Amino acid sequence: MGRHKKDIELLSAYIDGELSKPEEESLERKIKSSLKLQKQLDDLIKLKNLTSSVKRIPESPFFETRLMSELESTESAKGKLFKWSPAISLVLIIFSVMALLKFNPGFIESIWEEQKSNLAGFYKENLQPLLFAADLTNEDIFSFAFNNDLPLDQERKQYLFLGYDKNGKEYFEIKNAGFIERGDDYNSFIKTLNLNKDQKLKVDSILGKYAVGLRSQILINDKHTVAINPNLWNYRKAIAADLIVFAQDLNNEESQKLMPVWFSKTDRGKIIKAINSLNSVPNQNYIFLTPDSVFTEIYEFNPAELNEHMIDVELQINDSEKNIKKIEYRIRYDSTWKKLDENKFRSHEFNIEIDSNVCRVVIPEFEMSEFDLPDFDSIETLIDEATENVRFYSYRIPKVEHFGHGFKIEYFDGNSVKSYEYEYENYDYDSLLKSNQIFIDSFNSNSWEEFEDLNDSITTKFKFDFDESFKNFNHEQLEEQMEKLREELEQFREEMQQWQNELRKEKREIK
Amino acid sequence: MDSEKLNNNLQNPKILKLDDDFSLVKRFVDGDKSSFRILVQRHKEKVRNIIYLTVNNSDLVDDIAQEVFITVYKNLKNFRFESQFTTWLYRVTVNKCKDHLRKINVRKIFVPVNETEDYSGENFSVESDNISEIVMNGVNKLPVKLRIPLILKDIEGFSYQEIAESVQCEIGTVKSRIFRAREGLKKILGPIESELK
Repeated sequence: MGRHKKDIELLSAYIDGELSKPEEESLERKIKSSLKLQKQLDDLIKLKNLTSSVKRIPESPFFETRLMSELESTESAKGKLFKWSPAISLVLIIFSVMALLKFNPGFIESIWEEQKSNLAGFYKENLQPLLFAADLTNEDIFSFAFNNDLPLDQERKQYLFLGYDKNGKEYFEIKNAGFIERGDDYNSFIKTLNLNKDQKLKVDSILGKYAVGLRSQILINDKHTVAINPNLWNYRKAIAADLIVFAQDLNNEESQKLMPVWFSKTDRGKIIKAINSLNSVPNQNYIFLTPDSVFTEIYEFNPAELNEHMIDVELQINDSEKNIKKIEYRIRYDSTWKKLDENKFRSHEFNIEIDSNVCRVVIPEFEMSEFDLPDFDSIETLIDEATENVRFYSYRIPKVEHFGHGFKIEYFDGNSVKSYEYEYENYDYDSLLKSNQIFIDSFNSNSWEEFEDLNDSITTKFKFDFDESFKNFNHEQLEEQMEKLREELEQFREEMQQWQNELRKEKREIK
Repeated sequence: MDSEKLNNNLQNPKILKLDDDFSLVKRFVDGDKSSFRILVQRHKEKVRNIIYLTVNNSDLVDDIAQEVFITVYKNLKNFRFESQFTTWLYRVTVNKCKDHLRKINVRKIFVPVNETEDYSGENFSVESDNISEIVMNGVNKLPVKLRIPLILKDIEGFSYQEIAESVQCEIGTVKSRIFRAREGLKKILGPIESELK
């Protein structure tokens, strides 16, 4: 920048009053001695006056109002943001949970397990033995050993039934007594083996020995919980096995007919060992059937405590017993389960089937080995085969007896024997045949579940009972026997018709 | 020329006392939102005028001024009381003006005016008999970086120090830019000098 230009720049600052005192004095001396600088100064002052005279924008009377309104709407927008804050918070929570699960995948599972544990604790409170209140008789225990059912109340209105479904999985059922056709198997057993008084007492002693142990196998409380110890399956086998061993020890003509030919001393030893281990090793793993779910949990039942507070307990049990019927209404049956593929059932720990009369809980993963009874598994087949042989005393081939003016036909229905006695004049042959035709045809069905149009057990009662009672029998043999029955009935139908004709002829002759 | 005489001919800047604005800002920070209205009332016309002179478009003045005060409103809680409130306010105003002009320049695919541009005023025409308007048109022919310090000095009466703080540069730079702005404006208005007398 040249000296002259530098002075002009100083002139610009000079008219603005922005020079220091020395600069100002120095410049003023130059201005006095330089016409050119004086001219420059005049031009700058004129220019400054021009620019300073520029008009300002007129005041806006509405600016302030408009601004304040805009500020309020801005604040309101913040309010709107606040209004959306729950949604924003929810999104943030979701992302937080996602992040949490990413870095701690077991978090939810641990909470879930904790809640399950709390729920289990709730249903485990104040459990009392149901079978104590049911006041089991020796007949009940005997029937349990060979028919798999136990009464759940003193009035015998409900029963617990243990069984195996068509896939061989263990299940238990709570069903109304209307389904149970009880036979007098206990007395049949005594009679068949031709037991004397002492021997009968021995049988009673065997059965009584299990009565105490059975008490802790089914527990209930006022929360509508039914806790079932899977050891019941072992108990059933043990009782049956004990009775078989007893029958073998009798070594009389009747017991030799009863015992399977293969039954050896080795087998007997195994069975006795298993029976002893069952009584010495209590199992604390229960299956809990509750209004909310079915689950397995450890529960320690103390029979000694029970004896101390027997009266109180009995009262509580009576109250709880009244509530047990509500279970079947509180558990909701998912009708879609039946339609699911069999493999999908495995995803459920328990498969529950329920209708108006039966609540069945199938246990897919039933492992006896958990119960620390190593010898029991090995003798299971032996006991099952022996049990099948023992059953002959109550299931007899139907027979027909003739008498004076009528006939009597006996047939088995469920596990009991029923009979019809008919006078010739009143008998409806067609009805009898029709009834038995249905009965015979029902043999062709393997399970009641296959009756898709008859889902409820009430409508399939007859078929259901038949299937459950005979599931361990040889079906071919039974069908053969029933075919004989059909032939006999047909033959008798003809005889009846003939006798009826003869009777009518006689009546006419008398007249 | 006597400097006192010169200053008397110019419009004296109206600078508020520091504690006036500070106390209002303090009240606002403490939760009294009404104090902001007082601040607006005090400074709105100066802000609007700077905008008007800088962007040379009266239609946009209130919109830009509103942006300025909303920005101040949102950031006033962060005011550190280290400089005058007006310094901060005008800095915001200048920046808003620059932003606006930048947007316009982008829209026009504007080619920046070189600082050594020849302000011959060949293309400058007088379409108005209003001297103020003629001068303002001439001022608006100046580049923004020269125009704003000139406006703040000659029209708004800011000191070099205040201008430096508002446009965020050194005082020497302000001095140089104002000189160059005047040199440029002289060339722009040269052809019509006789009419301005």
